[in-house]
Amino acid sequence: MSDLEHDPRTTTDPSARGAGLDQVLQVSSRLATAMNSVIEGKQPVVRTAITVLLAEGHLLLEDVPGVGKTLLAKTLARCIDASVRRVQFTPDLLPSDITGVSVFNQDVRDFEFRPGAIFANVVVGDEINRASPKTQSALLESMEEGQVTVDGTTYVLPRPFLVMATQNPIEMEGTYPLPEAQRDRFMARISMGYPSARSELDMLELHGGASPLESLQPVTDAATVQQMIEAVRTVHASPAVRQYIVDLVGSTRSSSALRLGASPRATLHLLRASRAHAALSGRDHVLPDDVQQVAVAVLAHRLIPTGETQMARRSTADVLADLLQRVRVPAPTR
Amino acid sequence: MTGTRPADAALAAVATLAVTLPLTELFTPAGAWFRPSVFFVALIAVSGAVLRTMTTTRPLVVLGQAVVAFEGVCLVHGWGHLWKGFVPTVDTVHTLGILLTDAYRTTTTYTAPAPADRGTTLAVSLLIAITALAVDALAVTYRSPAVAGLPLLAAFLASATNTSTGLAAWLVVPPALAWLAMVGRQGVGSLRTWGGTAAPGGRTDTDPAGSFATVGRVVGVLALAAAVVVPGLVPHFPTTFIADGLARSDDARGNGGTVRLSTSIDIARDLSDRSSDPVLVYRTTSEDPEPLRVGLLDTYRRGRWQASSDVTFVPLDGRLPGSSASPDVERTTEKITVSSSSVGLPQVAMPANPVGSPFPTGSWRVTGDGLVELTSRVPEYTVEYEQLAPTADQFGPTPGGAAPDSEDLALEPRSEERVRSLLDEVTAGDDSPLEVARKIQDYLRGPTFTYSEDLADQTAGGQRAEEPLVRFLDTKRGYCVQFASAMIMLSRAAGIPARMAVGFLPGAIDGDDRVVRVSDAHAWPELWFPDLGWMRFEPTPGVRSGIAPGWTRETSAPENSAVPAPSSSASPSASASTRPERDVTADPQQDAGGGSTGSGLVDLVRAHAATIGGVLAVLLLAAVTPFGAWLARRRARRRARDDAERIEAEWQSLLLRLGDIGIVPGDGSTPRQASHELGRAAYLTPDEDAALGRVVATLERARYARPGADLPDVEGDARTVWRAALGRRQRLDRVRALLLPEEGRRHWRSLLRLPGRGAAERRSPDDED
Repeated sequence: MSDLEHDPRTTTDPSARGAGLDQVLQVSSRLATAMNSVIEGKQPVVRTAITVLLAEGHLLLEDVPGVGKTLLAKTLARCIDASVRRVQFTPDLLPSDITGVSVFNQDVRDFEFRPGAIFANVVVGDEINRASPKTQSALLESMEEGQVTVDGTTYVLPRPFLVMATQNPIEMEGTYPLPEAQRDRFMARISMGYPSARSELDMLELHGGASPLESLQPVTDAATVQQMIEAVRTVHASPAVRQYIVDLVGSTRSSSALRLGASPRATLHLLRASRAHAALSGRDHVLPDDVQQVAVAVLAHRLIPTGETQMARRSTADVLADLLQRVRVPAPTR
Repeated sequence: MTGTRPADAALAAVATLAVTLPLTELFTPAGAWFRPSVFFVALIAVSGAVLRTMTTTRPLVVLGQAVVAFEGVCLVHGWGHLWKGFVPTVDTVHTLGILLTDAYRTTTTYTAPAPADRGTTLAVSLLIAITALAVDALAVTYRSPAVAGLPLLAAFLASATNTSTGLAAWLVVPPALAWLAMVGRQGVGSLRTWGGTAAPGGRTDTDPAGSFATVGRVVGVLALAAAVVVPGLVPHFPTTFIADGLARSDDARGNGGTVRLSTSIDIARDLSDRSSDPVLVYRTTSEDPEPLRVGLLDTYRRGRWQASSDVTFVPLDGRLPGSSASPDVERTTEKITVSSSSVGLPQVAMPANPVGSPFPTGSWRVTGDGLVELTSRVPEYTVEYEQLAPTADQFGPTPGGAAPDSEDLALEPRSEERVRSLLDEVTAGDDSPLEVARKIQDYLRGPTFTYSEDLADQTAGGQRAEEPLVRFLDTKRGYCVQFASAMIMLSRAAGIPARMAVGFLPGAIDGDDRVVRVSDAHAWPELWFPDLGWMRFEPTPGVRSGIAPGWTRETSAPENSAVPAPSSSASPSASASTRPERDVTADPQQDAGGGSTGSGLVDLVRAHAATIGGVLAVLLLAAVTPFGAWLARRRARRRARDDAERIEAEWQSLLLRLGDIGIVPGDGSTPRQASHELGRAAYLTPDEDAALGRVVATLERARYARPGADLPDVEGDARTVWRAALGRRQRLDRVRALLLPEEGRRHWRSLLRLPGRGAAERRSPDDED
């Protein structure tokens, strides 16, 4: 697939684009440059991470240990001048460690809420599948609704709010698989993958001395990110594109290769991610190409393959790629 | 989509060739027709494979194969009648028509095995080509090898029913194996497609059993209809054959032995011995060769023909006299050159009325009847003979009372009464001798008589054996001997001297030679007319003997009205020069054709008018689909309510037109992906690609941007892309895209409310994985 960013036909004329989209383009480009300076040769991954940030989603980084999942999360967090919390998930981590807890204050003789790790703009949850399901579930409400309820009191989380969780593949030892409900709340799952030989050489050079992360300066702040998110919301999705999204998600539900298709929440996430993708390409409208490019990242982790598909060693991403080739792009209805 | 599938095509060709094996028993020599047939089968297989790579439209493939095959037939059989050496014209078709008429005559005249002359070679190879086309179309192009069994079976049965002896059992094995292999390949192929991931929403769930039942019903009905219709159309060999009983071999069916015709023929005997051993190989200068006479029998007693005269002499001048006809009878001198003869001494085969001295002195003599006999073997000889072409009035007004021999007027007492009463029935009192002879011949050749080598059983209830001739006249069933005997007796009763000649039919053409086989043995009557001498008649039905001599048939009016004998008798040479020689014996149709030279110009104009009309019709037909495409585009543009719809229509039209030249983007392609795919497949230059990019960018804005976006007209860019893509295709693809645009076909289909094929085509990749 072509890289939209460099296709001159694709971008909307700057004069017609509006200030909001201009800001999105400029800031996201700075963000990408900064992140790419730390993480070698992973532009698509970086791009997806920024897409998720702008689409108000949460990001799940899944890969084997040591490929830079945590580094990516930390880099993105550092690039934004906002409150950042990092939680290392372990089997003995309690839900209250995440959400916060009411403790009795002797001075005021009342219970006082001590916010947990979730109260930040960017939350990096490291090795999320090492915690027990109970602790994982503590994230549910906060991720979906941007709020936390403790002891009957609801606390609103700051905006923007981005959870970046990393996890090892579930076959690894000492892991609790993420419940489907939890997985569904992540907008996109990306795998880092091993770097290319050249990137790995560069990495040795770059990371040999002091970590580049140390010298990284924030390129934007929480307020700007919030503005960008607002701008992305205004990107136009025509009826044809919406129809295409619904067709695509519907096809995962009827596919004989899948036991579980994508949820309506997935439909919503797909549209939002597509909008962000279009905005990152400098367009004020979504193309089916945007949908196609984010579809695997947004949908693959929500699908459950049938036994046969697993036996055939086809991943859900493979099945999705098939579906993308087959589902017709609807022409506008007359 | 259809795929080349060379293996399947080869299998279909092999099956067709296997089914032609039985034909070797029907037409000899097999080499003559087998090579062109193999050529046509290969031509059809290869052209099919090539066409399938170029088009996915199945009827187009079959049509292309038919055209290629026809061109091949024209090249092989119409050589010398083609415009510029390869373009078939009216003349070519005319030539092929003549050859096919020849073939029709051969198949209806000769017994199996028939001679493989040019006509039959054309007919056989044409039939094989049609079979090959049908098999290839059904088995490969339409992927229904099971149904392809029908044309194979039809071809096989055509051979099987035409051989009198029954086919060897093993002959069914090769075609059956080839057919099973085709069906097997198809079965394995469809099994392999199982287990693939079903496309979501792709295949509609139709009941497979229901569709199979429909196909089965259609095939059944078609097969039944074909079984009824085809036998009526295909010319057929006579189911029975010939007077082998006339031929007696010295050493049974001996190879290389001599064959002598019996000089004593029992007309009550069935024919049972059949032999296709060659007797004689000769060349002739005659367009319409006469039968070769071997013996003359003039005495009929107790159901048996015998030669009465045993006087022999050698002419004083050592020369044969030729015809005894009066000198003013028109005649042509023809020549036969016998290169090998196994006719036993003293018999020798030659046409009637030989002249000159064909044999070395001392090796031959003449019988009292004027028949030549040999006294020592002469395997090769050349005989000149006179072929008479008398006019009707030269047969004379009264029967020749002065018969050469009283035996030639003798009637068998036991059958005399019956013969005389029949004569009164058949003829009128004031008929001239020729009219009497013609009426007798027409009566015997008429529909009431049946040619059969098996005679009818003794009539039931008869206390004593009937006279064989009477029995024949009652049962109206017999072979040449009975027919000849009947005509001789009826003629004698009318006062015309008559005798029986035995010999051979002219035989089958084999290259420049003619081959006479034992099975060509024949008997015919000769009637005596005072001014003409002995004249051959042919009462045996045409299935066996072919066309009767020209003078024995009612000829066309001009011939009869040209009675003024003086003119022809006064200047025989002039009349001979004004009339082509072969007209004398040509059949009536050719006479009619030659007679209408005055209207030839009109005919020519008419023929050309038909050609012009045909060309116009073809042009008109060719223009129908492109016109439909133009209408469809115009309609789409008119119906567009805004710029967005106009651009959408332009894009759909561009996609359809690119589809015509085989450039089809993937099912799930977005416009942008489609443009990349199209650009690659159409080998667009950067400029043209930019034009395509503009079209797609405009389309994207029209489809997906906020309403009210700026939408420039892309018609010019679309045209640039289309022309560039078309220009880089092969000529054939271009012609097809221009003549049969899908856009036009859809337009007419939509007008006719026909179901579109879109759904079927969308499914087909799954079917044909």
